[in-house]
Amino acid sequence: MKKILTAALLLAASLCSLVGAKEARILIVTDEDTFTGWMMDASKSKFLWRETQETLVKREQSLLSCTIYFLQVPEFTEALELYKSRNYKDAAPRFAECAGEYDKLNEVKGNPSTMALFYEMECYRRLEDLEKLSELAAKFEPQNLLYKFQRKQYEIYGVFWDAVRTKSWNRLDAICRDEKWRGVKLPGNLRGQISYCHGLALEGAGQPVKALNAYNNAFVADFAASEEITRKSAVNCLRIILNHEDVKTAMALYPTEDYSDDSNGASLIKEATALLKLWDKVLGSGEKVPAKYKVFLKYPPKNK
Amino acid sequence: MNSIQSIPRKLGLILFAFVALCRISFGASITDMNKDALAAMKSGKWAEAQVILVKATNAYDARAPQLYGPRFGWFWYHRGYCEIKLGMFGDAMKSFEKCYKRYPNTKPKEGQAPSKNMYNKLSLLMWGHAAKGAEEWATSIRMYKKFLEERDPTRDRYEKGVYFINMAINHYKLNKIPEGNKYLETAIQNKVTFPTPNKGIMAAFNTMVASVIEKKDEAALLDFLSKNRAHIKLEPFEAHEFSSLFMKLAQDARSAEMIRSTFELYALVPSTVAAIDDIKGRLAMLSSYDRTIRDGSMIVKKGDLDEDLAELETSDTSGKVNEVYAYLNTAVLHEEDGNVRGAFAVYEQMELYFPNAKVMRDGKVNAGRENNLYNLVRTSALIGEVLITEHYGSIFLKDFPESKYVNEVRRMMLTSLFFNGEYEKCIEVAEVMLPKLTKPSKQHDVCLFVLGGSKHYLGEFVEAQEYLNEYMSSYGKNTKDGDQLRIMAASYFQAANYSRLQEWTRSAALLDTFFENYPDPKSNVYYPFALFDRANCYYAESEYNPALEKVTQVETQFPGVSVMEQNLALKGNILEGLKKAKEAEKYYLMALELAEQKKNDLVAGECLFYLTSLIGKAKIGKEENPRVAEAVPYYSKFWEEYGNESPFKAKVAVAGIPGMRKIGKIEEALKRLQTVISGIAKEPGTPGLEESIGSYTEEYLEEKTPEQLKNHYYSFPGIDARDMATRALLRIAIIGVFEEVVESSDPNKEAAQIRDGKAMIETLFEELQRDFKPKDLSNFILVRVGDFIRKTTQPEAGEVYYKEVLSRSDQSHMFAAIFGLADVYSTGTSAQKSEAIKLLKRVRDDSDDSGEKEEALYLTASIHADNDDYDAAIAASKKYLDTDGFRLYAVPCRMLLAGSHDKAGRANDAVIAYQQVWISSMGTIRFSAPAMKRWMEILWKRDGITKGKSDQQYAYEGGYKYLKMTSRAVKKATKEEKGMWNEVLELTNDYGANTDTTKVVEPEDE
Repeated sequence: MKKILTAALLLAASLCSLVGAKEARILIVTDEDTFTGWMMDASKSKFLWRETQETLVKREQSLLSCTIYFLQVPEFTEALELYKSRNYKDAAPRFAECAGEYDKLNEVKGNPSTMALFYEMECYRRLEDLEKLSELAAKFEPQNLLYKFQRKQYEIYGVFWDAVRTKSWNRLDAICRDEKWRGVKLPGNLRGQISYCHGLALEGAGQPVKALNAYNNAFVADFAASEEITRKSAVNCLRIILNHEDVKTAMALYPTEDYSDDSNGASLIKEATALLKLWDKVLGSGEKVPAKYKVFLKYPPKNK
Repeated sequence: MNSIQSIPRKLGLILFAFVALCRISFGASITDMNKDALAAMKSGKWAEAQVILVKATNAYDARAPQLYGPRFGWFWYHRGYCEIKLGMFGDAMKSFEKCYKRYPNTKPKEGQAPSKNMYNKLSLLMWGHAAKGAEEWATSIRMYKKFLEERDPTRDRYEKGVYFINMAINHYKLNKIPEGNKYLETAIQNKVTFPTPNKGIMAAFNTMVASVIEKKDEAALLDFLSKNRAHIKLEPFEAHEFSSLFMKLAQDARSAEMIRSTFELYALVPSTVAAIDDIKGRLAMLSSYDRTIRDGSMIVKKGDLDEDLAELETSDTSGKVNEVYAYLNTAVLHEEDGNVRGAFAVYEQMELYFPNAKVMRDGKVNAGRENNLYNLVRTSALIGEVLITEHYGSIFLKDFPESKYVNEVRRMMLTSLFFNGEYEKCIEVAEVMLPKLTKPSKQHDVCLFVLGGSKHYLGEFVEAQEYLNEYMSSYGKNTKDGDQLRIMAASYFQAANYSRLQEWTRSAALLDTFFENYPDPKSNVYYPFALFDRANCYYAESEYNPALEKVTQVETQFPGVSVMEQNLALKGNILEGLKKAKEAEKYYLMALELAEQKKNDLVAGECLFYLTSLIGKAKIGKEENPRVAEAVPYYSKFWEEYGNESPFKAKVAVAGIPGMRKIGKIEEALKRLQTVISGIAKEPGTPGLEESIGSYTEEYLEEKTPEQLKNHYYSFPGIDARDMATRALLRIAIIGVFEEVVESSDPNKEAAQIRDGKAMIETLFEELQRDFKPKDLSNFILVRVGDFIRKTTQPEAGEVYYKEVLSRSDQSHMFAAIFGLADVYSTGTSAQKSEAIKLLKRVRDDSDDSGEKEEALYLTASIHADNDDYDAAIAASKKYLDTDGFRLYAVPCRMLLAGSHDKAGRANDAVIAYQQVWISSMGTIRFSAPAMKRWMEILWKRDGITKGKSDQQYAYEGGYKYLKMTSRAVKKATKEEKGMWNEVLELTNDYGANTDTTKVVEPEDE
């Protein structure tokens, strides 16, 4: 071990500076050997670690000559369970806490602080608290995220969600249509977000019917796994249809002979009715659809 | 699951311990069997080991309790263990039962060596495993429970994760879902401490879903997922292993119509690219570390990750990814429930992100793109995303030219484009397609329909008519339901298109048939439009009352129809035709209001023109119009709001002149008109230029001379020297002025003026022919030039000008051109004469100018007569004479009628007809004299009795009376006419000299 480590220093005196900070369990893999230990502190190029939490012997290791595997810290695991249980509201402060506790390690790739901060942002993104998201994203350093798609998610905060926050609809619409984003192969949940933002942009830019396509893209992108995007997209579709002039006309004409199942308004009502059915099956994730949209059920096609 | 994986690892230790024991206690044979069985088990040779152990138990079991005591239980336990390994669960249960029941740990009898069955309680656990394997779920539960009750916690250790999972499975199998959930949740929540392997959790989960489906208890699954999502939702790298399972469960749930569960299960399937990303990230952290890491509940091992990564990348590259099925099922679900847009969204994502998707169909792996892309085209067409249909349709046709869907895709691209108003694109696609299609075929049907309909909508009426006629003759009688909408639409387009071509008669007939075939406005979306078109036909034929009835029907029965503002304006036109100016004004105002409300600037501008024109007439009859100045606000509004874009600007500029003159703003109006002339001259095809120049000319001459006009027009302000059309128009205007000068001059007093005028006209026409090619000239000028030429000695030189007009899509002056051409042909060859008759029929049927119709009918009669087709000539002449209002050619027509009877040898009819000529037009010597002469000749020859006298006497007396009655008129006749009259005189004298004739003797004047 001694021949591998670049330095092994007894730095007991400096331990006092670590009071309050937590250490993360790590696996250090060098070309020749592997070690387990606890990471205490880190900079861009090196880190301090010790073999057990009991020992006062700290070691310094260059990051250039090893790779680090961070074992999941319990605080992160607990927060992640809340997150996976879709309890974003409670998960967010737990991630924040975790990030704070391990923030001395945030110069290392895959460190628990950076990962927790990322998930904290994810919580606010899912809660659509865009001010908070913007605030966190502004000071976040994405380079130490472990995964490519996490970095892409961070990019999406800045490009898409911030445009939603600032209601820059035309710009957002242009970005969404740009091949740079449209053509790229992303996991469904990221594509779902882009489509949802596009829907908002089109609505904001006064093209609600086009937004219907975008919202549909959003809720099929990961087969409704992103339940909050799915639900909001579906509600937005129902709202767009309810506000559509042709739908209002069709509803007004429904009792009369002038009503036609083939009219645009009737087609949109049919689409909304389908969304209501799908809401119970998949789009609503168990929540109830806002009552006002049940009005569509009063207008079934006359010639079925 | 059966927890026997860890046992082989312990076999070395067991072997060592047991062999040591046997050496002391068992005989040589059984020791060997122990040794051999252990060796075989260590090598994983379970069958071999089981054979040895069966042999041992068969040979020694009867005496073993006495010989070896409880420790012989070892043989039964391991026999059962091997049997589990070999899937012989029933045998295994019996072996464990033996171990438990026959070899309990009892105190040794006297003289017996101490002996202990270390496997006695553990055999209960294994019995439970075996019973589970034998699907004896209740027994398994009982054995597990018994094991927990009886075991020695310090010695009888067990894997808790496995136990809870198996208990869960046993309960699920007995359809005791809540109880099973308790065990599974315990296993999950303690998965780190027990530990519980993911495989076990998933096995139990699988059983639960099966049970849920069997019991149709979806709520239980949803409740479980809601509580345990954090544990069931694995990290992508872990979840990958179970993707196929999740997909299977989702499919099972789908089959059981548990749709929410289906999608909850799909949500557990990781995205392939996300799993790849996750694994790559972890591999980067692990670097070369290849041992297993237990990271919380996760088991991470480089070797497994490498393997999974390779598998995932292969799947991704080859397109065999699990999520494809989830997407396709999503599409089916959305479409089945009526949300086609959702299905469309899926198919578009499939095309964009999974173009190489492979799917299992009929037990084979197939490329899915062809179907997916086809469905994308189909669904995009259904939701009306016409450009997307076009886009992906093109890709489909390019990438799958041999597909069975090719024709359908083409059809969808077209119909989708058409019904969304993308007519230019339709034409672009259909024109290429049409010649390649089999005829008749569904594709040809659709293509022809779309092409005709698109051309109709884009105003390419001549071409549209051909396609629509072909469509109706080829497919108009199809009876399939799917074709009916197209047939109805095509019937309407065909009829309406004729009206755009101003073929009113045909249009009217087809529209009437259309109403008969599709009488129900509820199922006929074209009904109000057809009514409007029919009203237009009536209006064009000056049949105002039926026209009024149709527009009123549209107005009252179809209040929301999109052409309502046009309909109201047409009603105004009709009322104006019925001389109901006040009501017309009211409708123009209604049309204007609606057009402005709907921001239909075109119709708004048109209505302002009608109002300006109606109210702003200089005179009503012979009286000054007291309201003329009231037109000015409409005139001004037009220029303020619509003037720049409206095609009616020329007409308004003209119509507003009297009003502007009245309020003292004639200069401004003329300036405006001049600007309009130069402005519209820059926009080829803008109607009204001729009329504008005409009006301007008229107003200019109020103050200036024709010579000044000529100079002004040769350098008209704002007209480019290259603008041949406008320059030619101006020349024509000058010609018109000089023609007027010639006509209005007195031949006796102003002969020089007439001569100079004619010379000027001739020069101007020569210049026109020389300076302008037909293609540079507007229809109006072409007709004017043609008309001038056909009245010269070389009428055939006019043909080129008329033909140029008729070759254009611009329909203005069409009938004048047809008439002119017919006139040219009327003096040509026999074939040309036949062509002339066809052309004239067109004028008679469809021109909305009754003067043109009258002339056409007379000319038709003349050509027939000239062609020696006397019956046709007689019919045409009679038709002319029977038509109310046709007077202009009445005398020559009677002459034609008489001449035709005469030449056809029908003497009696000829006599009557000639008589009608000379009686009704006695003073018109050029007709009456020849009619009289021929009348006399026929009677003389007939030699019968008329009114009690011989025909010869009657002929003589008729001639005599005629000469007497026209003796004054002949004094004013031309030389030629006098010659004709003299012929009657000579004949009368001849007949009078005949001996059989009694001469008329006049009493002498006193």
